[in-house]
Amino acid sequence: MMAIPIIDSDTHVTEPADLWTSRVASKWGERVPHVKWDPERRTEAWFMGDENLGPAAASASYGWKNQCPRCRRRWRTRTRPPTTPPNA
Amino acid sequence: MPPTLADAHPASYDAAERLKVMDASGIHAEVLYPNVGGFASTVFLRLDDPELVLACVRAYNDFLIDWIAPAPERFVPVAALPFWDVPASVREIERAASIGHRAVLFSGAPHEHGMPYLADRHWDPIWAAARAAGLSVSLHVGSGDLTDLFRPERTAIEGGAVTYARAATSVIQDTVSHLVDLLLSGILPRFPELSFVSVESGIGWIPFMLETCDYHFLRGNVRAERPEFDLLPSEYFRRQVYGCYWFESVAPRLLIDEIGLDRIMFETDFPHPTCLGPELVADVVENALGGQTEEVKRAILWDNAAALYGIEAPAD
Repeated sequence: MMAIPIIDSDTHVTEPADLWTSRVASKWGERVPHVKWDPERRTEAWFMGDENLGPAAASASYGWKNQCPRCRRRWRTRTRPPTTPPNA
Repeated sequence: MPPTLADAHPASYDAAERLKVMDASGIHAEVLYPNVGGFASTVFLRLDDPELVLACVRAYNDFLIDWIAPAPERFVPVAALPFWDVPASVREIERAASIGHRAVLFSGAPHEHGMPYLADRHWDPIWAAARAAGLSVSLHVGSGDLTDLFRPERTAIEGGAVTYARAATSVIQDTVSHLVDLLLSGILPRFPELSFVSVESGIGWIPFMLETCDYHFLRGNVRAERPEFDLLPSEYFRRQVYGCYWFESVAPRLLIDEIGLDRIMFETDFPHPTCLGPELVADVVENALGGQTEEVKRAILWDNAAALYGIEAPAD
């Protein structure tokens, strides 16, 4: 019997760094949500003005380190050269 | 977590890569939620400028429609709402529906964001607009105030791993409160054709919640005071509310009839920390539903969500 196709009723799209800066008028400047390096946590983070909203890739942890070493290895070798995270 | 967006799994941000992961998981279609704005978009409120806040919400909704362009028939975009502004939300619901959104996000606990309670008729124009546009309302777990779950003082005692495990478990009790609020809000009798989806909140607790709510509804003689409640809370649930599960096996094996077969949908929460990746989906589905009939499996994995969101079956 054919496998039943699945509808996944809850997933998340990791917002790209330029989502708002490319779509919201520039008159608001740095207040528009944007991504920059957070030297304290050593991650990229979302900012609105000076307010740090937290690490930019926190919502995209699938496959990262301790979570699923096997599949991480698979996608990293297939899709991009290995990189050394700044906090490694 | 990945230190930069470029270090994240490409399927987290790239639709073509997402489709490859879906194919590897046996997933034909996905419902899409945000991260940055929060699950009720309240992060933008901190901008304290109504025009800019609205521009940010609309930019997200436009982005999501552009994002699904590689395969719009395989994605269900859920619109963010500027829910703190009812007239603006009504306009955004109509606009979002016109560009392809198929559901709207709302907070299960608007009062925790300084707004009127869910039951307040203040929100009725939003329910009416969603119903008129044919959109369901998604209450995603974590749409209330999460401050207490993640207090730095707690994490200092626990460490990050315990904070994660505790918060991911305890946040479900917020969802229980949100659904009890909904069932006793009067919204469901007033808008009998409007559906609500409890997202990423699991299902195993639902029979106990419904039994408790029905018991006290009757013991409290609610109908004497509020005759508009023509049904029991559990009957409203089975008419208008859905629950979504991912890792559970107890409820899918033992409690389907107590919840209602046509009320249950499957999810993975990809690519969040708790998610089921493609290496897990088949095993989890088999473990939970392997003993069920094809009809039951099909209802949970496909039919319920397909009917709610209007998703076409894949071509053979």
